[in-house]
Amino acid sequence: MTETSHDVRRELAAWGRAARACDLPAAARRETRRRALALLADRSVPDRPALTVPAVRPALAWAAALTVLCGGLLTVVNLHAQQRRAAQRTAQAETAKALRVETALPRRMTALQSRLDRAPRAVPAAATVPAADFGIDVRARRLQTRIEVYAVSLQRELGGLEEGRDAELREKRGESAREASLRAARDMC
Amino acid sequence: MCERENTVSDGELVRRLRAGDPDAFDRLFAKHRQGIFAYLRQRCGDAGLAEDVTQEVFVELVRRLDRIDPRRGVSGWLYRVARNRMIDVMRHRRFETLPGEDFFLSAAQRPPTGEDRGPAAGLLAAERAERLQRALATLPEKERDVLTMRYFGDLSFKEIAAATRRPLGTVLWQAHRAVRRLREQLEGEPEG
Repeated sequence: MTETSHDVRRELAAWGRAARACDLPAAARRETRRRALALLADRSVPDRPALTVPAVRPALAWAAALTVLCGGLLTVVNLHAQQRRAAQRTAQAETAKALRVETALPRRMTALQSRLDRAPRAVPAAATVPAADFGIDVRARRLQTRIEVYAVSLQRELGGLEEGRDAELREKRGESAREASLRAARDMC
Repeated sequence: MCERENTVSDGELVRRLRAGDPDAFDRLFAKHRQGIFAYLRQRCGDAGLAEDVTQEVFVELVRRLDRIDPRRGVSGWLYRVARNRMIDVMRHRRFETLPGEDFFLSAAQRPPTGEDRGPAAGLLAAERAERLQRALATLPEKERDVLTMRYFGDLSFKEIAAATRRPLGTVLWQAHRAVRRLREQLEGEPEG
């Protein structure tokens, strides 16, 4: 006999219907119902021990929420303190820098002035006396030139320093170069 | 009114059951017990074992009510539990695949179809059922499972996909292949 897929399906369906027509025995049905309803009743009893679990859950949830909240607050406080300390450090560094500038500038200017004062203004007499010695004379002139160049460079450096100091002082006072010159003119008057 | 009560969905019944309504359990039990019993009896071939596992499945339904999603229906969940529990029991008892004597007797007692009318109809039906059962036993586990859920549990393919946690396309393909294999088996096997 040749079977088709349709035949097989029809056979299976008929067989399945027949199998479904057989019900559980009455005793098994009653027993299943009894066990299931007992469990169901147990689920709805309010004071059974299992209900302590839902009671614990909110407490755990509150504890977790409080922990998160406290953690967040501590983080914010820490961040704030860190920012404050960083601002303090910056202010201290700026003050120290200003102090250094104020103390170092006059000292350096004094040092330069003293170097300038100590620099020889003319060729020593001893260098020019032995006129017969051409070599000595040449060396003396070279020395003179070098001294003059050195003096000029010292003057320039001193002038630059003074200008820098004036600019810093103006900056500190918060006034422009024009205002500073006006003030200087007023002081002179 | 009564008709409307009869068309209450499984999801609604699960919600009522969660609220502690025993009537909801009775309805679910009445609706699904025969399909599950038939499926289990076909899979294990032992009516006594199928009874025990069916009971376990419905007790489990109440025990694990919180895990069931009412929106997804309950039949997929029930058959999944039935299948897993039966596999556990069979593994424990080392059951053989072929069903016992009681199964063939019940298959022979099925109502005769139009073409089966006649004095020898019952015997012929029993013979055909036995051939089909033998062919079914040779199918791979997954394909046999799909066919059994489909024809004995009367599940839709979508419900089978939910019960077996396989994609719908896979289930459809497995059903198609299983029927083809059955047909080939029955064609190759001499009758009587």
